[in-house]
Amino acid sequence: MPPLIRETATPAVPTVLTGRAKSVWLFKAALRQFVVNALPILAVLAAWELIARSGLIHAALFPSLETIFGTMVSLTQQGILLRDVLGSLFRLLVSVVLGIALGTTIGLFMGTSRLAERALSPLLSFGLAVPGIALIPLAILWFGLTEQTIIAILALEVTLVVMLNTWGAVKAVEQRFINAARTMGADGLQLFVRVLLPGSLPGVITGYRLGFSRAWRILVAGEMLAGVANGLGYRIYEARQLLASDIVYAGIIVIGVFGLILERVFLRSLEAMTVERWGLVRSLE
Amino acid sequence: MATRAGHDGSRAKLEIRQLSKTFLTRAGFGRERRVTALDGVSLSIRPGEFVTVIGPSGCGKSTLLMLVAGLEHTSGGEIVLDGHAVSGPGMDRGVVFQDFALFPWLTVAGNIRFGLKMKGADRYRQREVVERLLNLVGLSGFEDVYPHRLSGGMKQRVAIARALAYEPEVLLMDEPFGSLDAQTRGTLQRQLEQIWTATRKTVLFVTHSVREAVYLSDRVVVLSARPGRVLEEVGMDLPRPRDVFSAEFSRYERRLAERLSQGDEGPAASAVVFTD
Repeated sequence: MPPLIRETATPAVPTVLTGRAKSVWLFKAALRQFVVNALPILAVLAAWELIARSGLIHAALFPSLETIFGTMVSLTQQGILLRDVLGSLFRLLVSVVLGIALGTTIGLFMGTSRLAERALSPLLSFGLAVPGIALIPLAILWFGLTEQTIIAILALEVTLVVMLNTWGAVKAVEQRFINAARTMGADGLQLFVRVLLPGSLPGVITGYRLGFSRAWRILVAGEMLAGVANGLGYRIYEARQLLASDIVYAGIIVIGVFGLILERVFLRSLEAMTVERWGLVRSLE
Repeated sequence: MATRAGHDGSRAKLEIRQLSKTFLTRAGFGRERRVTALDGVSLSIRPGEFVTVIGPSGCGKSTLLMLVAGLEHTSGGEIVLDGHAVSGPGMDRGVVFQDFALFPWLTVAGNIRFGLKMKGADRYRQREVVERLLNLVGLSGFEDVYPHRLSGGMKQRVAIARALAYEPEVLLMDEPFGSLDAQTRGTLQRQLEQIWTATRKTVLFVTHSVREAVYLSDRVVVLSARPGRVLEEVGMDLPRPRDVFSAEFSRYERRLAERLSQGDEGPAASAVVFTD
């Protein structure tokens, strides 16, 4: 019989191991995994501390890790950090949900209707050509220095990116799958639900990922420009004016960490549950 | 011994009459290229008969199958199945594709269930059919496996089970073993013959392998090079299961191979016409 299971990135537990030996093996494997993940980060941190302590660069520009994390702790204790994080996450969540809902719907429509495709693709190209940040002044004129300004810009950006990817993903569903389904009596809505939707999922998820990372970037810029009184972008912009580089760095780290967590937890697990399981993409670490 | 079942004047299961297909493709600078793939092909298949179409590559044999499947529009002639003209895809025909075309997002069982779901069969029936067919193709226990974990031969067996699941009147097979290695191919040919013997489905099979055609078919239809025309129909008067090393088997093989090489020098060049 031919090999059934292809080799995967994570080695399986050797079957000879049982009980305690198995636990030890699993622990060692987890440890190895952790070291591989953590080592590059630790290396960067060590290099940072080395430069900071050497005095080559002024401490106001290049504070030590101690100062940065100390600032992070004190910002947390004052409740400022929590408020900023919640403020940013709220804006992000609302606009990403809005953008995904709108973008997916319109994108699917474009992918399945020739007419919608022809009518909307020039608009989409135009929208994608205009950087989201360039619309912030316009949005400020419309909505003032408010939450709506940021959310409108973000939602528009996510909508456009998700639209483009969803549309492309539906068009990329292989003809052979469509043909096979048609020979088995699938047509119209059934073809859409049972073939076009799952078949386009890899591209659709890529769109969500791109939309999310774009939104996260523009969010920070938007908070700087729209002058709402909280948010991570607002915090580091304000800190710059006060020459508080430690707050700027602390803010940047928090932004990066939250971006990483959101990506890994939500989008990665969605991928693992679907396209990876189906073998449509190779597993990412 | 002979397998000319239904030759006693009984009605044809599948009747192909004067079938033609011309493709129009863009050739740049606003010109269109007209390629005739099939030119007046007629073929009649009896119930339970296994008919294979062979021909040089590009002769339109796969096109013929896609037309019968209803996935392409005909340019002329008609296809009649059980007295009804074919005008699009339908569940009275089951199709097995060369590249399997299993849905990667469905498990083996999910793939086999697809047609039954479209037919509205209840869960109990679905489970029963999946079990029976996996047993038939020798893949019991693979219900919950996703296709990407299967080898090529296993994939094609699932594809055959999927096409049989909703009990089509005719099974259309488009070079189903073309992408498999020689050994797997041999195994699947034997299995297909067993399945055919057990189910007695009417089969229209396309291949470029003469040996495969002689091994499996009741009757072999030889098409000429483009545009495809029927050159000859040869009934295989051989007992089953067939011995590929027997003298009769070789005789059929030689005869078909010779006919095939004559067909290769068909009027291919004249078939391509440029129009503005």
